[in-house]
Amino acid sequence: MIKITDLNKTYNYKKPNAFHALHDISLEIADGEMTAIIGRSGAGKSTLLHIIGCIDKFESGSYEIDGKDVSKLSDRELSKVRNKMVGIVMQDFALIDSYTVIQNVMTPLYFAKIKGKRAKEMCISALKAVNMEEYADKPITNLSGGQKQRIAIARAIVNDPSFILADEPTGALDTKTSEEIIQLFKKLNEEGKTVIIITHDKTVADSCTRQIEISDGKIISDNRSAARQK
Amino acid sequence: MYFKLGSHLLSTKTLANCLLIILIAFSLFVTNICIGIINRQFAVTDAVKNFDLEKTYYYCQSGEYSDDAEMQANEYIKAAEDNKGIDVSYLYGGSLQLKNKSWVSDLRYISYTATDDKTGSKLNSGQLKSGKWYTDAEHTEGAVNVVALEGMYDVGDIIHIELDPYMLETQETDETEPVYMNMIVTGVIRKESYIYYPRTDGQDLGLSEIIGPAYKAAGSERTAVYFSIDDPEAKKYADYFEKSGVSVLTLNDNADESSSNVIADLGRKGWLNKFKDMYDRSMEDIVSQILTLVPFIFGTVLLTVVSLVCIMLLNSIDNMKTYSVYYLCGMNWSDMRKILLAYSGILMISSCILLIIIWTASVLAGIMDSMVVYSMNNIYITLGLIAFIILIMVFVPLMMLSKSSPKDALRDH
Ligand SMILES: Nc1ncnc2c1ncn2[C@@H]1O[C@H](COP(=O)(O)OP(=O)(O)OP(=O)(O)O)[C@@H](O)[C@H]1O
Ligand SMILES: [Mg+2]
Repeated sequence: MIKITDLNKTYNYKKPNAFHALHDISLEIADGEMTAIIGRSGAGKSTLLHIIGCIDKFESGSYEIDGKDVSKLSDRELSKVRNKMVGIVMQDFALIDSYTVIQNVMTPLYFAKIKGKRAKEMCISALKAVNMEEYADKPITNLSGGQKQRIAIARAIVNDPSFILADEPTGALDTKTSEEIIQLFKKLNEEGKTVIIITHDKTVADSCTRQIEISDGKIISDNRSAARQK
Repeated sequence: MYFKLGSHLLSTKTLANCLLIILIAFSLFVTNICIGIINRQFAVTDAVKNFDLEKTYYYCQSGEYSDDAEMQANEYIKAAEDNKGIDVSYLYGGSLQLKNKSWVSDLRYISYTATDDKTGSKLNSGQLKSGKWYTDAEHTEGAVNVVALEGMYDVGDIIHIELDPYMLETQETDETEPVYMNMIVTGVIRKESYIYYPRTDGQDLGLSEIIGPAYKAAGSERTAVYFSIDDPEAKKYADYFEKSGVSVLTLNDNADESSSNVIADLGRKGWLNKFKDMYDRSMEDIVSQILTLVPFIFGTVLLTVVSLVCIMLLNSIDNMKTYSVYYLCGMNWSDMRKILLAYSGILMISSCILLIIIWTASVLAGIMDSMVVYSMNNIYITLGLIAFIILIMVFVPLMMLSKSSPKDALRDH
C-alpha cells in the first residue's frame, strides 16, 4: 500500500529559482489497484511518480510504502525499494543501448546480487511475460518502440516488485501498439500487481479502475470508476 | 558484479577509453623518465654519502711543475703521510695488459682503478649487479679480488694479466722475465656504478669530474676492473700499478692544527678540492638541471589532468543515461563508487600494462641505460599518480551525477 500525506515538493528548494511543484498531496493507493494519473503538461504528474518510485526527494509531508516511512530510509534502503518493491517504466524506455535485451532486463538483478542461472531464468520468465523471449540475445537498438517498451516492462517486473509505475508508457507509441502495452499492464494488474500509469491518453486512463487528476501540483479529482473496459 | 558493470562502461565508449589508456600510460612514462633523470642527477651525490665531506680532500699532484718542484710536491705529500691526523689514500689507475690466452674477443687491455680498502669501501657499493664487493668476498690464494664492469666478465671468471716490467723504477734495459698476475671476479657492477676517475688536474671540480659511471672510466678499453691495493695479492704487485698522482686525503680523529697546515700547503702546491665544495658545486648543477625539467614535468601533469578531466566529463555525459538507468534499477551511491572504481581499475591496469610494454621496449632499445636511474621514488610517485588519476575518474562522474539528479538525466533523453 502507498500512503502519502500532505506531501510538498519544491524544485531548487531554497534557491532563487525555486518551483513549488506539488502542494499538500494526500493520497492512498491500495494493493491491486490500477490507477491512472492524468493532468495537463507541467501539472506535476512525473514529479509525483518519481517520488513514489523513490528516485526523487520531497521536503515535507510523509510517504509510506508498505508501511515503510520513505523519508527515514538510508540511501542503501532506498535503493532496495527501487530494486525490489517498485518497477519503473519510462516514456522513452530508459534502456541501455549498448546492452543486449537480456542484459537490460538483467540490470536490476545485478543490484539484487542475483547471479548465474537463477538470474537468467528470471529474465527469461520476465521476457516471456511480455512475449519477447526470442529476442533475448538481440541488441536493443534494432527493436521497434513497442518492443523496447515491452523490454522496459520486462525489466520493471523481473525482480517481482509489487508496484509498477509507468510514466506515459504509450506516449511514444502508435494506437495499436499502445493498446497492446495497456493489455500487458492489465494482465500484470490481474496477476496482483499494483499499477500506476501516468497518461495523456483518454483510452488508457479509461482502462484503469481509478483516475487521479492533478493540476498545478494539486489533486483536483479522484474517481474510482467501475467502468473498467475490457 | 561491479567488475562486470565497470567493464560494461569500458566497452560502451571504446575509442575514448583507448585514448584514456594511452594518455595515462604516456604521462606515467614521461613522469617516470623525468624522475629517472632526476635520480640520475642525484646518483653522483649519493655516491659520496659515506664520506665525511668536511674532512675529505681530493688532491691532484701538479704535473706542470719542473722536476724540482715535483720533488717538493712529493715531499708535501710525504708530510701528509707522516702526519698522524691525515689518512692518505692513493688512487691507482691505468690499463693492464691481458695475457694472450685470456683475451676476451679483441681485447688486449683492460682499465683498472684501485685505492685502499678504507677509501674504496666508502664508495657506494650498492651498485652490484651480481656477486660481492671485492672487500666482502673471500680471498682466493694467488688471485686479486676484483669487481668488473658488466658485460665482459661474470662472477668467478679468472683474468690473467701480464704486468709491464717497465713500470718498475728499478727496471733494467735488457729483457726481463714477464710477470703474471691473476684476478678473480667476485662481483659484477652496473655500467652506471660510481667509481673514481683518477683525473690529474683541476681546480673547482664538481663531484661528477672525479667520480662517475664505470662505463665512462672504462673508456676505449671498453671494460674495467676495480680492486683494493690492500688486497694481499695486489700488495705483492703494488709496484707495477700506476700511481696517478691523485690521492684522497682524510682528516682523522687525530687531526690538529699541523694537519690543517699540511693540507693548506698541499693546496698551494697542487690542486686541492674539498669534498664539501665539490658536493656543493654538484648540487648547484643538479638543481639548475632539475629546474629545467620542472616546466616539462609540470606541463605533462597539467596536460594529463586537464585532458583526463575533459575526457571523463565527456565520457560521463555519455554514460549519464547508463548511470541513471542503474540508479533506477536499484543502484545506490556506494554501488556507483564501486562500479567507477572497477572501471578506473581496469583502465589503470591496461595503462600499466601498456606502460610496461613501452618501458621494456625502451630498455631493450637501450634508450634508458644512460639516461635514467630507477629508485623507490619512481614507485612512490607512480603509485601516487595512479591514485590521483583514479580519484579523478571516480570523482568526476559522481560529481556530475549528483549535480543533475538521475531522473533529470533520464528526462533529457
Ligand atoms: N528539475 C526540475 N527543476 C525545476 N523545475 C522542474 C524540474 N522538473 C520539473 N520541474 C517543473 O515542475 C513542474 C512539474 O513537472 P512534471 O514533470 O512533474 O510535470 P508533468 O505533469 O509530468 O508534465 P508532462 O505531462 O509534460 O510530463 C513543471 O512546471 C516543471 O517545469
Ligand atoms: Mg511528465
